Amino acid sequence: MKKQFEEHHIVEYLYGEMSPADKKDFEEAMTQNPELENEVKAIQQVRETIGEMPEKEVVPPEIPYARLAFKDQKATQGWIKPLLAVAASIALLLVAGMYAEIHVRINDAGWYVGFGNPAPNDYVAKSEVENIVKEALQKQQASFSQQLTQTRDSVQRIYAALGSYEGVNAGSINREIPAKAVSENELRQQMASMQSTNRELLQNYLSAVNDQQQAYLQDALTQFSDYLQQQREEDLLMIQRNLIDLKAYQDAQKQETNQVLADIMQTVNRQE
Amino acid sequence: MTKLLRDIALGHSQSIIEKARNGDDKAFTKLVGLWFKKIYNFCLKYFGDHDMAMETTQKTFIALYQNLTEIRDTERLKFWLYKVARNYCYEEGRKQKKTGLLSIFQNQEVEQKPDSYFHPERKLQTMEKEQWVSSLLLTLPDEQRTVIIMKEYEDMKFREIAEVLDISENTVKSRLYYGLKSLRKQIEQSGYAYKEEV
Repeated sequence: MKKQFEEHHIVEYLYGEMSPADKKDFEEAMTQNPELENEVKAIQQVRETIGEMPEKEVVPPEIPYARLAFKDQKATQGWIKPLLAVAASIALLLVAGMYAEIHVRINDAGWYVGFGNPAPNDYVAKSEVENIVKEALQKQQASFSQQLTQTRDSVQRIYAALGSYEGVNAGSINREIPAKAVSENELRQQMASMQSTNRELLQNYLSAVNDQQQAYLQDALTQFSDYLQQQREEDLLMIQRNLIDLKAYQDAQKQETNQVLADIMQTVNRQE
Repeated sequence: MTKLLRDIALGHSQSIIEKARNGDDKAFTKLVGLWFKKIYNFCLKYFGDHDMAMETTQKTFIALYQNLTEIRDTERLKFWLYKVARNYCYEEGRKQKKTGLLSIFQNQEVEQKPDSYFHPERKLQTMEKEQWVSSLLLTLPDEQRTVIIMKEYEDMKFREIAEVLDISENTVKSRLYYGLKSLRKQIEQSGYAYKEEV
């Protein structure tokens, strides 16, 4: 190779980036310098050998580029995802429960979840029973005391009416009239009255508890209904987003097809 | 006609860049569709491996999404994409060298056969030509390989390569020349006979 042509002239010539004047000089130099000509030919052959690598077709993967912009925002709202997961799990459990006859019972002792027919017992807490009994006893005692007083008064009035016990004062009556002095019929009436009162009290109490439980259950069902509605809206939103992404992907595919067609036409033109 | 189509595509690309910069995600998806194949093939030739090329290409476009404001026009986009893809290729190549994965390809000798056994047709039968060329490229240093891929397969001008790699045009030509000479040596050592094939 002659000194005036260096390696960069060879690549310029081979890749067609040499000025017409330089190209003419270079081709003249090749005719006079076989070594230079052979060098050019050898490198051209390398190009022809490695040039047989057509571009591979590839489909761009669907990457959520847009979500990257919200990365920081998502980081601050990291609690939403686990919360949604928990909510979705509960919803799934409840849907499954519809078919498996799931039963949920809530009371002071805690939550009970079961499948199939529920156990027939209505659980009442120990403290509640104690309160009921205590309250009933207190009322019974008060009622009994009142009735006993009334009985004494009526006996006193009877003795006073008969007038056969003169000289007997009210204090001695109080001391000397034992419970046995009350007739059996009166006692039975008093006991029946007390039982009736107790039954009424217990019924009122159970009715109040039942109303409270119904109100609670209704509230829980309302909340669950709201949650299902919210979940449905989110699902619809997600479906809408996916449809938008799908449309975008189809557009990209169309663009890719145009590009492929352009490449094919370019190749055909080159061959012509 | 082809040139017209290319011009239309580039003009469209310009409008897509504008839309994408204004936050139009659909436009960005179109932009990816236009350039993904070019960048993927550049990375594929650099690594000779689909998975690594795919990963590097995806990283490049994620970076593009995050830096769209830097892109003003189609030519700038082209330079930017190749520059970032090249950087990711170098980075990934260094990682793979550390783990020893890429060295399996880079240090391998190009297959040699005894003269009596060798014949171009048989070579084509026993070894995929593309894989063979790919293995040849992997024997080159990163800088020479990059220049050869850009010039030979991406059809870039010396000026464009110099701008992407941030080096002088003469350095580009020098790397290209010595890269091709190195390939020639590898091909000769492998017993490949040009004239027989021609």
